[in-house]
Amino acid sequence: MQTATTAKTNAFACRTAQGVALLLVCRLALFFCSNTAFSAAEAAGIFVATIVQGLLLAPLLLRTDAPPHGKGSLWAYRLFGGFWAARVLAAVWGMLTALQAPYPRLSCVLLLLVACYAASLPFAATGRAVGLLLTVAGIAFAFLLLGGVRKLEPLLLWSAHTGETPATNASRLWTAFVRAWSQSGELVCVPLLLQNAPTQNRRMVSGWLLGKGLGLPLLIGFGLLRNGRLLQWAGNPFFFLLTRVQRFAAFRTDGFWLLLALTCAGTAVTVSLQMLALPSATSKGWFRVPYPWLRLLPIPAILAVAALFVRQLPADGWFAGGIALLGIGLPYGERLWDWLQSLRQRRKTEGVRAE
Amino acid sequence: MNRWGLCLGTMLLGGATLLLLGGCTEVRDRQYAKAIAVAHTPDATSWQAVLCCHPTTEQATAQPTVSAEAVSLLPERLQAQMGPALYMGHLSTLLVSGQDLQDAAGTALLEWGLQTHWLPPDCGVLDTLTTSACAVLSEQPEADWEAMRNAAVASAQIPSRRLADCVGDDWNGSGVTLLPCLQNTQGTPSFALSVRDASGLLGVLSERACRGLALLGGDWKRCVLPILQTDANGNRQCAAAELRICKAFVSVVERTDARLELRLHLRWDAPLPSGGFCTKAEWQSLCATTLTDTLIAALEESAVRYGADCCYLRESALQNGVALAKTATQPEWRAALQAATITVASCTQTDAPFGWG
Repeated sequence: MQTATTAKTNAFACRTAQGVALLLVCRLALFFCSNTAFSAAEAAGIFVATIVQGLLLAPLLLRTDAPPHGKGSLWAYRLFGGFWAARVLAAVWGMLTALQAPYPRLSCVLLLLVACYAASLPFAATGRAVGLLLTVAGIAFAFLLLGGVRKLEPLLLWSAHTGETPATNASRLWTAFVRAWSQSGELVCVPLLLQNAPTQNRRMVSGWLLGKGLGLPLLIGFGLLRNGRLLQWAGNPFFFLLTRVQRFAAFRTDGFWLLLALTCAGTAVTVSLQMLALPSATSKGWFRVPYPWLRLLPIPAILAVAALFVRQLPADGWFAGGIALLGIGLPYGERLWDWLQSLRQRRKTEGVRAE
Repeated sequence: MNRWGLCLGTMLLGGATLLLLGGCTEVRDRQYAKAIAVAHTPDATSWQAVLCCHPTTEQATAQPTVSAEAVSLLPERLQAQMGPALYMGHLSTLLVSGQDLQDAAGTALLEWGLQTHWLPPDCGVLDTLTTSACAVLSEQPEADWEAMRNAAVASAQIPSRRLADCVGDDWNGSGVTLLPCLQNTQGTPSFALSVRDASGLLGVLSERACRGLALLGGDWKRCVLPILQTDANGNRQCAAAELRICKAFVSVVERTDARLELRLHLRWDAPLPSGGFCTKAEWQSLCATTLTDTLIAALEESAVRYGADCCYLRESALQNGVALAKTATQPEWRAALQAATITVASCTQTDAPFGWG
């Protein structure tokens, strides 16, 4: 029988860089979907929250072995995974609705379907996907910063709400601090990602904290220097920032940035679902075998496609239908691939025997 | 999981999917507005939309005017008239008119449009002054207001002013905003800036002041300034100075007599035109004088005459530790700007394209 620690190691084992990418991508998902204007208080709130999180995680990093997970903590992870998947999906729905994107609910359903399937794959696949995703996001952020650096207005660093007092300023910082915590769901993943390698663990957590604590405030500061005096604006500040940067006018919801936001959100939901379905120490198979309820996925997906075609929505129908069919096809494709592999293996074995 | 569990799960998931699909917005039934006109009167606010591609004509088409007593009723009325949902994500121009556009209802209109995401924050605003915006839009539904406005910004006629900038001035500026406006000067339409506050239209800035604000804004692509000179015989000569570099900013400091001082810092370069207009030294002197006059006119007309703060003067004052900027209410800040003095702190001719500002 496997021990609890081994079970944990099997479930969320990945490379250091992949762990950093996973934590950052999960944070980016809610950053893209956030609905608060970029301000100095927001940047400071994230920075301070990151420092506090680092201090809280320090004792965990001093351990020489990975923390074991008992039955109770596994259930806590599962509950949190379910809650976090719902939270991210709600944030995505809110973002799509605010951007007046077509089919916001359907997009969330399809996102969930794809995330469900992705969650059934081995965790190594998620690790590789987030590594790739963060690389793409990093390149895009670099282009964004380069595209807008010429038009920065340094004076806007001193932007302030008219007639504000030091008390309101402190209150704003506190609100931003609390918000930064409420968006740091990836924090719960950290103990799951810790392996029996203290140096690797420290590198991973430091990379994540540096990326979050410096990268996000830098991006918010950049937005602040571009967004003018709209400190009371209650909209998605990131997509607003894109409208203010030349060659990035993507406020109109279509384009690379929305796809990146949706992909990050999909990854965050996938990781949450993998937490939701964390294997207990006595169960077998871990992530190699699709969950039993995965068998149900094709049915709602087929219904979604049928409903789309009944409603005669040509352009978007084809696209949404394509995604749904992909979701349906992949599990069977995987089984086909496994069968082909076993066939090949059998032939090889027979060949060896014949020789 | 047994067979009954599978059936139940399937029914639940399938039912949830169908329920979620029930609320979909159909893309084909959407109308995309290219320009919107808002004419505000004390009794009602009228809106008119020009659609990007009308389903029947495939051309930009002006819709009949819609009026509503309350701002929040306008989208519903507009949609009721047109049928399909109106999508404003592609809105490029918002035409406004009315003496009291910036009164309580008028401000609420722009703010409400922005806060409810009904109006995109980056759409251009155009003031039609005393002419009804709806009338202007219905007369010229095919006009490309966005292209005209962009051309004016690129040639430094006016600064780039978007809806977000106007609302930002109202929220965290001095409560006075500058809107690009289209006016007829001797029969020729030209762009200028109208000044509005809560009491309504205050006036229109001169061409020189608008150019000065465009240079301060820094969004221009090509700027040609007329340089005038009177020769020894008393003949007036004119040459065109094409600015290669013009970086200007204003810093706000508090003087010993508690008044504000707007200090103008300027760095510029304009090549001497061929044809023996004057010597290089004379050319530099003439250009410097013209440029500083233009920028001073901009500050005098906008900040000192009307108390408008569209060049981040308050932020500059905060940066320089002016106590008033921290504590003043909007009317107080406006009064302080109106009592301010303007000085030229530096005016440097340079070949270096990069540097401060």
